[in-house]
Formats: sequence, C-alpha cells, structure tokens
Amino acid sequence: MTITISAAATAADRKLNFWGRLTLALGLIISLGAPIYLFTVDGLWPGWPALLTSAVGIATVFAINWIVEPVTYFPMLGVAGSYQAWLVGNISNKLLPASITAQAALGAKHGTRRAELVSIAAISGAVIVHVLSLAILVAIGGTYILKVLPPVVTDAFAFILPAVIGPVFVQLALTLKSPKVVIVGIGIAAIMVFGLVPLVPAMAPVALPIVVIATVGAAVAFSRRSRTEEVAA
Amino acid sequence: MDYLEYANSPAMWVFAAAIFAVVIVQAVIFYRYAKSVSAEAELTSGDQRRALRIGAVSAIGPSIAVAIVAIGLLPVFGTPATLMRIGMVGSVPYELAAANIASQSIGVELGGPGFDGTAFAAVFFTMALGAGVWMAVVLFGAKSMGTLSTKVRAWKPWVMNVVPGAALIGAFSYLTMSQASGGFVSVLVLLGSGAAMALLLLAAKRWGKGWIREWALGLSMVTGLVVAMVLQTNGM
Repeated sequence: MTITISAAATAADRKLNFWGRLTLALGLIISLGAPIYLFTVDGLWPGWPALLTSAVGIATVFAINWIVEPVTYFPMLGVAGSYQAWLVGNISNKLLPASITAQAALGAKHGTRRAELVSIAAISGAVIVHVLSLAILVAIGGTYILKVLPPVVTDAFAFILPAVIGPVFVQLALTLKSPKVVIVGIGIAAIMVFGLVPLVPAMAPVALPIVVIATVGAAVAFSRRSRTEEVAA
Repeated sequence: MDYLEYANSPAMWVFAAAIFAVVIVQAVIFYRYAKSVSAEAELTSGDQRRALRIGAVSAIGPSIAVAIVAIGLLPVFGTPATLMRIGMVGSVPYELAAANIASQSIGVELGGPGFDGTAFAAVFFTMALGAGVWMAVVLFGAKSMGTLSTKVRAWKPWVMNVVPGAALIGAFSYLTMSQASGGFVSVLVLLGSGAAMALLLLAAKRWGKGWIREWALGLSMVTGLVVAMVLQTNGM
C-alpha cells in the first residue's frame, strides 16, 4: 500500500515546520537575550567559572531529560504540538490535558490526522488562556491577588497536580477501551515509582520513558496478537 | 543597587513582552494552519472552534494554579523574569530546580543575603540555558521525528493507531503514581477528582450531552481541590 500525500498538504507541512522552527528559535534567542543584556549593558558579568559550574550543575541533573522528554512526548503531541508545547511549557499539567479533553469531546481517535488538528486548536486555546492568565493575574494583579484569596483556597492549589492528572488518567482509560493496556501501564508505573526509583534514585530521569516504552510495547504486542488471531479465524 | 532594580528594569519588560508576542503569534499561525488543512480530516470550522474553546476552558484551572506559584516567585525574580521563565518552557519544578542549582554553584542562597545583580544574572541565564536545550532538541529534531512517524504509518498503519494512545496511558500512569507517592492527601485528591471525571463522562454518555465532556476536566479539578480544602481544614 502506498500513501499519497497531496501537494497541498506537503506545502502546508513545510510551512508548519518553517513557522514552528522560526517561532521556537525566536523564543530561544529572546530568552537567552534577556540575561545577556544584564551581562553586557547592565555590566552584571558573573565570570566564566560561575556560569560553567552552574551549567555543569544543571547538565548533571537534566542531561537525560533534554533528549528523552521531547522524544517521549512526541507521539502524543505530533510535529505541530511539539513546537507549541516546548515553546510554552506546562505540558503535562496544561497542554496535554486540554488536547485530550478536546479529542474526547469531539470523538477524535488518537493517532489520526483529525486528532492532530483538534489538538492544535485545543492547545492554541490553552495557550491563549495561559498568556492572558499570566498577563492579568501575575503582571497586573500581582501580589494583590494573594492578599485577597483566603489561605484555605491558596493552600488547596498546592494539590492542583493530582486534581488535574487524576481526571485526565480516568478520561484516557475510558476512551482508550483497552483495559489490558491500562493495567500494564499503571502496574509498571507503580513498580517504577514505589519499587525501583526509591531503590535506585539514579533511575528517576528515565522512569517516565521506561513506563511509556513498556506500555507502548505491550499495546503493540496485544494488538499484533489480536490481528494474527483475526487472520487465523 | 538592589538586584531587583535590574530585574524589573524597562529593558527586561521589553524582553518579556517580546516572548509573549512570539507565543501568541505562534498560536495564531498554527490555528490557521489547522484550518487550512482541516478539509482532509473532515474537520468542520465549528469543530475547530469547539476544540479551541475546550482547550481554553480546560486550561483555566491549571493557569490559575501556575499564576499563584508565579506570584509567589515575584519577590525573588522580579516580574519580567518570572513571566518569561513561567511563560516559556516553564514547568515550575524545572525552573525552581535550575535556579537553586545555579545559586548553589555560585555559593549564595536564592534571594538571600549576597544574592546581588551578578548572581541574579547568572541564575537567570542558567534557567534560560537549560530550557533552551529542550527547545534546541525540538528545533532540530521535531521534523525528523515527524518524517519517521509518517514512514511508520505508511509501513504499518495500525502501529501508529496504537502507539499515541498507549504512550499517553503510559505517561499518565507514571504521573498518577508519582502524584500518589506525594502522601495521603494527594491520594484522596486523585481518587476524588478521578471519580468525578468517571461520573461526568457516564452522565455525558447517559444523557448525550456534549457540554458535560467539555467541562468535565474543569469540574473534576474543582472537586479535587475541594477534597484538598476539606482535608486541610481538618488538619491533614
């Protein structure tokens, strides 16, 4: 079977890669430009030794994450989603939940072109709220908001991550309709988080990719088996 | 001169505004891209607007949470740097880890005595550098990853139908378990908000109401936060 991609789609994809790379590169340049401005124009140069030790410090902690995270999240985000997510950040707490909820509500199956386009629109919506919330609540509202909100409310926000991740997991588990894959995923995750990582703390940066790869491997194996059974029957 | 005068200088505000402009322009360009190719995926413009709205609604809760953390960081980093770091590749845990590692390497406490202009500049640079590596990996790698997945799709289409869903289940299984390791309150918040989602999705199916699905994440999140509030006021 050959896949024919229309010329219009290829041209659109070229455009997508061009703008994705351009915006990401601009974001990178501006974010490094601000501290470089402090070094040069404001004369706040800390010296090479300070910068080198800091760089080595973060590299020892994050070197593995730098490579494995973009690769791990790629099947969920796609090309466009990767450009958006790595510019804006907040992937697992904001952008993926937005995309998963939109795909579920519009009945778009994971891995289809339709799901990819729904995800772009949903992430764009999430990005707009993200930018507005930072502009209004942080830049303008600032410290005033912390004074107004009762501590009971602000303390509860310390638990926003379980409050987002729990429902997203349930939503995924119910839309995937493959209980075997869900059980494998949660089982391996439990072994990693409560068994292996406390024993071997150095495994922490690769724990997420290991769970993802194992779950994907199990899902491919299950669906291959069900396909051969179909053929045999 | 206090380092916060540099951190809140007009020039820093210009850099912060420039980053926000890039983020917004990207969202507009990508939304229009999706619109231009929507016919091939049988996506109506109504569907697309609905997806945009669902994404926006789902992001309200997490955005408020991130804003509260960001407000807490304002006295340490000043407003423009906080906006840039949280607004860009900003997972709060990464930014805080990077800032602490950088200030330890220089030998001063973050925001403490001795944290002067040069220390701030060094910490700010280190945060941007670390996040910049992720951006560079995507900048140079996303296109090839896309080509690879197109090839796999052409070779064995069913593989690409299985992989993204399974990858999501794997990732969120791990995230769920690592949240569960956060203690008793975290576990109950996970269970409460997860149960709310299950009930909402059942209700949406039972009565065929699409809007319930759209609001499901926001409502479940509020349920989880109420659970946390009740447990905390009872001294847990």
